Amino acid sequence: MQTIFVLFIVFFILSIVGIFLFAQQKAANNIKVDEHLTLAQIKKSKMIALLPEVQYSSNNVVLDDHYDKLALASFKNIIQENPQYYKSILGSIKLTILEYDFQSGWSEEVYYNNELLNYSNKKNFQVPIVLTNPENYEKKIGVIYVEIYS
Amino acid sequence: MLKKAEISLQFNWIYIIVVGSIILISGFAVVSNIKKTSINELILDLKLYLDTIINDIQLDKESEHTVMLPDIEIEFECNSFSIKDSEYSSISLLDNILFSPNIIKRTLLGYSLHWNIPFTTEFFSYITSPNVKYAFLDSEHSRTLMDILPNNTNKELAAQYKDYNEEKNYKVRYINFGNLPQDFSFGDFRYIDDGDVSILKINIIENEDSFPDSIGKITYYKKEDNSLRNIGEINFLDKATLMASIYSEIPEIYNCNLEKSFKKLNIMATIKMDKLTEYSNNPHLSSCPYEQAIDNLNNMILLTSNVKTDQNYVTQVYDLSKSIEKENKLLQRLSCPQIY
Repeated sequence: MQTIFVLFIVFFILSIVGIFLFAQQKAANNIKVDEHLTLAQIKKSKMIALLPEVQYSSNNVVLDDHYDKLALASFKNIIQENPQYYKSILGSIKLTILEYDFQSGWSEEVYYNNELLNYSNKKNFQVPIVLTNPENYEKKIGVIYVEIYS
Repeated sequence: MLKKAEISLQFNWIYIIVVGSIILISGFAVVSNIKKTSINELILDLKLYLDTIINDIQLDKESEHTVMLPDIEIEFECNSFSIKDSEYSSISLLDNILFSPNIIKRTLLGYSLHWNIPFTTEFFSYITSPNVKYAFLDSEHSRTLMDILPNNTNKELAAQYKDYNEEKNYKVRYINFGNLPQDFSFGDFRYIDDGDVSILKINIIENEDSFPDSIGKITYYKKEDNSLRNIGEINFLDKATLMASIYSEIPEIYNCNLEKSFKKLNIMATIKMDKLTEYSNNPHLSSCPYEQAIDNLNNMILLTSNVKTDQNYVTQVYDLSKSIEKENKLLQRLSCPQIY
């Protein structure tokens, strides 16, 4: 009877340790998933900000955070013509560009949408940009709005 | 005859030994599993961070990156990289243009350049290790080429072929602009396998005056005992592709990345073409001469819709890029919106 009682206590302590380890592992996994998502967010934001397809350049001098409006219009078609290529680069994201006009206010246009239907995580970020029309060098304030799904 | 109490006492000991052994074995199994899991977790973390590091290297142009690696080896191919001997799948490099030796260990060095052909088309990433020696056989072009490689590269100007018999180097690459000597006497590379000793023979074909922005051909050789084996040729067309050939382990990897770059050039040329069509339809820009530029871009789109890597093809891309550059300069002189 005494031995059984000792064993019962030993297994009870082992079970408590097991449950504690499991809970700790689960928490660590959640932190890792969050870390992974943050890294993916940083990666995507840098990649989108520096896409040569849409960056505005003058005499091949690329201006940071300046987007070319004509290139953007063409880029929308290019994405549709090369879905696999851009899926591998951009992944599961929704890319929207908002433009501010002093008369009509904000307008938005979705350039890429590969939204996951059954996503478990979603993060978003915004980057302020300058939208330049290379035909008349007119500049407007804009925002890139990206939603990342996983 | 044993008494009942004695039997019970012996049974208790047997019981304790059996249960104790089970607990001990379970403990060992748990510890070994935890160790295995932590190694796998470390490799998984490394994979994630390496992906981010490589992405950083790619987008942070003309910056020198040095990353110390734990006791692992990274295997690079054209479309993926992986950690050697790990059970995890490889990470895709489909969207990266990356040139490197096949194995990177101890420390990773990274550098990147814009590929301007003539407009910015792609980021070229160059990865190597300080334990890979680049020995340039002394000549004027060797000195120029050595200067364009990042400062943290393990590079040296050599008067002649010699053995780099230091334990720290696991690969040696000789770069030669002249003819190869008939008779090689490498001696004994005690620390380096034959397959890790290579020679690149560079032959400039056009525009030698504007080197390294020239067209040329490179033949790759690998050491086999005391002789050399020709493993293939590649064609380069500017500084970025020339540097790419120096870093690439074998011609196949270089050509695979060049094909990906030409496909991207097709996309970029289409975007520029769409822009020029808009310009040419704009009545305010009717005095700007876009016809020739449109023709050139059209030809570039046609050419890059069927990608090749032979010398004739590379020369055509180079010539068209120079024509587009000329048109861009003309538009700049006329104060017209430019192609790029």
